[in-house]
Amino acid sequence: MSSTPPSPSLAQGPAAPKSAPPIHILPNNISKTYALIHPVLLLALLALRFNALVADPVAELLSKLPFLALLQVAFVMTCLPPAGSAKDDDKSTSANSSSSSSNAGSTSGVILKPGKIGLRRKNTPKSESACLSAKLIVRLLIKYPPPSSSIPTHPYMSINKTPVTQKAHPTNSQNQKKKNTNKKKKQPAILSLTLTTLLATPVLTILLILFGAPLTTHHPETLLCGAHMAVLTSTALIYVHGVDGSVWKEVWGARRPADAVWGAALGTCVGAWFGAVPIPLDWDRPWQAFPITILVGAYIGYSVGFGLGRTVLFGKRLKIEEEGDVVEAKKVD
Amino acid sequence: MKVARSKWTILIANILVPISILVFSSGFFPYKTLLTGFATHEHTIGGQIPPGVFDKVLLLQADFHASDFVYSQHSGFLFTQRLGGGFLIRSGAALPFTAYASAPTVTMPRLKAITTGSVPSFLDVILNIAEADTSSTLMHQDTWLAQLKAKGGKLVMYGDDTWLKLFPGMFHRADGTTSFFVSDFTEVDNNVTRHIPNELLQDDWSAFIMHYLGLDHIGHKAGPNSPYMITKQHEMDSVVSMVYTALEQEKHLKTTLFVLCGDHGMNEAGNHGGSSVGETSPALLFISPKFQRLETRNDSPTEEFSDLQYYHTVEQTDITPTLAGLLGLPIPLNSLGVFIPELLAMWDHGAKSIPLTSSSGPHRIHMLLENAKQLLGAVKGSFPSYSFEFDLMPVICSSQSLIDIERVQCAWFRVLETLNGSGANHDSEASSEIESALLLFLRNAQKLMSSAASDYDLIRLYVGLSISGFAISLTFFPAKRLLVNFAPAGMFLGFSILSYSTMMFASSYVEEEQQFWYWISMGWVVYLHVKYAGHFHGNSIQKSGPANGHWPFEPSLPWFGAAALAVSYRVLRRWNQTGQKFAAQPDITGSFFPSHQHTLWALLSLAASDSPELLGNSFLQPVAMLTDGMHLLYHARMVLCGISLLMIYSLYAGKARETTHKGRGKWPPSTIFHETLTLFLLMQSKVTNIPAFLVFRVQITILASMRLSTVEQTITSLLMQYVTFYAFGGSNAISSVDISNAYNGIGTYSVFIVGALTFISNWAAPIWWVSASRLLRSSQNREEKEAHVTILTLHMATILMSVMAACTTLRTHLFIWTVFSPKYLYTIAWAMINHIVVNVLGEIDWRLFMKR
Repeated sequence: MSSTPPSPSLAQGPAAPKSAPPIHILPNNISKTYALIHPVLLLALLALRFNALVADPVAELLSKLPFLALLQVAFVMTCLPPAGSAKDDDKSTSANSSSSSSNAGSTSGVILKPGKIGLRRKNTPKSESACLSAKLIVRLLIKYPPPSSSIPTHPYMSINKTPVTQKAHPTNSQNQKKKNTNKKKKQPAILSLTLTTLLATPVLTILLILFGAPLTTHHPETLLCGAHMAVLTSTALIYVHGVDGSVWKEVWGARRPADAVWGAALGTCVGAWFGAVPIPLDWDRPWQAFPITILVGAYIGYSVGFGLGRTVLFGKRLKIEEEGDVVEAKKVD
Repeated sequence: MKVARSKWTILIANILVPISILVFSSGFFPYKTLLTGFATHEHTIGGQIPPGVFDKVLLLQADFHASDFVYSQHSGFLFTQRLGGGFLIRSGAALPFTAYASAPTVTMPRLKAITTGSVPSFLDVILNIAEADTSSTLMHQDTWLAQLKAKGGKLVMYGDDTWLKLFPGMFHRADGTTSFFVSDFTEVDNNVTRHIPNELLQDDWSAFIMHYLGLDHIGHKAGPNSPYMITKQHEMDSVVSMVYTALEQEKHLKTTLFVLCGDHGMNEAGNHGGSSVGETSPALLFISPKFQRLETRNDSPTEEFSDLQYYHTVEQTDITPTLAGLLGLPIPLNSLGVFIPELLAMWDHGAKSIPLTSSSGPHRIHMLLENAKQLLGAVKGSFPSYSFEFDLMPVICSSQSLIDIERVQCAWFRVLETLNGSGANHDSEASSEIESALLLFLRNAQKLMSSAASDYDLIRLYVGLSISGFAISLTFFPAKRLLVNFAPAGMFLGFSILSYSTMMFASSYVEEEQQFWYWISMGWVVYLHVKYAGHFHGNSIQKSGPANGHWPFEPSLPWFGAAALAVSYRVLRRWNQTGQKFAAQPDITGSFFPSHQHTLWALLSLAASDSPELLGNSFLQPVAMLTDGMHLLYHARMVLCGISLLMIYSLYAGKARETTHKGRGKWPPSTIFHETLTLFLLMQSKVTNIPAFLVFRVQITILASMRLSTVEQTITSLLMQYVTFYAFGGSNAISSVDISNAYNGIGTYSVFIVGALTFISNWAAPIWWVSASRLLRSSQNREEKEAHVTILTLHMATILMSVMAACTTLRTHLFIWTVFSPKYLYTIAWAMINHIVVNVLGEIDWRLFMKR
């Protein structure tokens, strides 16, 4: 149930690279406080708008999507380290040198390269092919800007939003480098929203259909449900990891070490899966209609996964390895 | 040592499973004792039989005379409510009741209730499925129809041909209408109405039955609030008015009783079968101009009641003794009805014309007394150990807490007491006392006997439950040992079993069971994906294990294997819509194939050419089916013979191959066996389901490439069996049993062969998966096979026990006969045939036996 942009397939490196470590919430008070509030805020929003959601799912989902994206962007920019924001990394300056072509192109290089070289692979040789493909994708995105009419507004909205987040910077600065933080945060945010719209939404929609969402009817519902889930799962993942091939391979295999970001993403999907449970009941309630329970499950799963990933399960991986074969098992007895 | 012991425990557990089913079933489906023979008038107490008030009966029956249709203000029955200047009901010419129809509210059991007066059991419903079964007819049961015929009367029937099936050869004139075309709202009824004017002029019949289907069809098709409903009610009303006018005018109809009754109602959706208030509350009207003398006054139309109980509520079974009494017939032996007290008043006035008695009291009392004696006979038949002799009157009657049968006993003793006390001279006070004592006894006995029909032998239920519980505990520890070693898969299985077991207690989840399997199997796909996608770059590919058996196709699809599986599951999920809630939604067989015939045939030919080495034979199959229809049977048999020969060959070839040399030869015998079986299953499947076997093949290919561990193979096999059963259109409703392929190659009806073919055609997909996964596991050693059986047994025993527990705890649930009992029947099939015969016996290596 992982959200999977096709980048892993492009970046099938022969070596098994060491993965990125689990992500910590930024160690300042505002971040820590907001990280506590954010999932509650999302659930409160859902609870508040629940009746409207039941009354007209499509309109409600559509109108709330920008708000959700905004909230998520605010959250990631407040609480999470953007892709490439390495504390112990000075190669980020060398990455800046790659900025040669267009404005946007250069910034994407800024986002990606440090993530690749510095933070993610402290002690291992970098995966060139992964890096290359990642850059390629971003270039492609910039060359062919998103065609969709409603959703591209989010990046701009997030840009408009930045003054708000800027206020957080003085406190941030106590722990982090001051210069360029705003830019460093803005660009991964834009990238994450773009990729969420273009890649994660279709992937999650397809997953929803594979898991039994109607194929021939309810298209807007499924798509919007997929979009909401994509915003919940992928915004933070992309913001934090960029298009790091090895991370996305782990996501595809659902074996990221648990942290708030991955826990929330996995929790969203598992929650959506459990959200299907009440649908067959014969209670004939309006909220049993298709996307509502799934979405509620996803939101609850998000919050639960978020909390668990931060705390109890932090750093643990979902592993499926059997300890022995039957014969061995018998011998053990 | 330990291995040997666990082997025996598994064997014992598998023996316990059918035993627990037998014990539980004997308690759950109690056999109802029916008295045989026909009732005759007895001349004992009082020495007098109340004379019949009527000598003819005209029964107008229409499905769905839900009482609010007839009685409420929104009803279209204007005439029934209003007659001339007055009202039919208000004038007292019609005595209105609500007749409680107990579940199952489908036509045939209801007709049984109306004619015999007995309460049909769930077994009747099962027996009714086997249409060829003639034991479900009422030819040899005591009914008021049979009594009327025995008296020399002629019977006439127009309408629903269920009557003709129930009473073959009983009717003098009849014109049956099949209710096959549910969308026909008019012709079915016109076919009845056109006979009425003629029949009303005839004076040879003594019972004239009209059974209209239009209301039923409209209900099924458009629901109770459809615009067709009100016009149909007006049409019915005009029939009532026509008949009533004839009753008033025609001389030979002067002593005719006109009964208008519904066999069952309908729920809000327009369907019936269950026991919601709407379904169990049909209307009952006794109409005759004679009733006006009773001067009963009822308001009509009445206010709408939410519980639909209009006027006095009686049991539907009460129709039988009432009709019998009014017509002067003996009450049918097995009737559990009570003469409707309101109609006793007929003898108050009728007595004036009969000079024999000084007062009307005796007739009323005699009527009730006869009813009581008949019911007492039925009670004695069911409770032979209880005595009803007066001299043995026990003291228990004074105690407060009486069980039902004791209450009946005491009521009867009270009757005897009052009868003895009053002696022969009935003054009005004494007779009213006797009457009330009799009615008390009758009601108690009716309650007792009606519940006896659905009365469970609780001890047997618990014994059955504990036997299956014991089977679980036998398998639990060996299975737990296995599952702990495969922790994630074991946890998944545990989760699946637990959630399934809790699900069995919710009626809608039982109805929508397919959703659970689709849901859990997608979870399993994710599990496989996480495991094997992880393996890919977790550099543990060396885990190849022994060469993967005989499975012919083995492309490596490690990366997107699970995704492809997910897609194939999605296709299967939509193959057939099943269950209740979403059954009407479009699916592949129902919506896609009809409009894409070419695709279907292309897929069919693809499926046929899928087993290349048997192309000759598979080519034969359609040819055999398509040549001349004269010898279709012969051809089908030939194909069956060919297939069975191939199967036997494959078994022997396997033996030969083992003994001589290994390797060589592209198609190992076990594969040939599987392919032959596939061919046979294709033949036994619905045409539209055949292409699904292609999907299965894709799935097994992917699964083969995954190198699953033992427990994973077992879980996969298990999930696939259930998923594909539902994907092929199976459900937990008895109506979904497909018998279209049950007669392939059979000339005459044989319970055993037809039963086996019915099972195979309904369980074709699970059987295929058992065979395919066996092939997948062909490299397994003995311990692994044993582990497979252990886990399967644990799963089956747990499912069985949870279904039994659900049936036991929910035995008074509204849906016990419509949802839980069918589920229990299906579980029997899963456990007895699919688990024990197909899975467990299929696991035994038959080649070992041949070697000996």
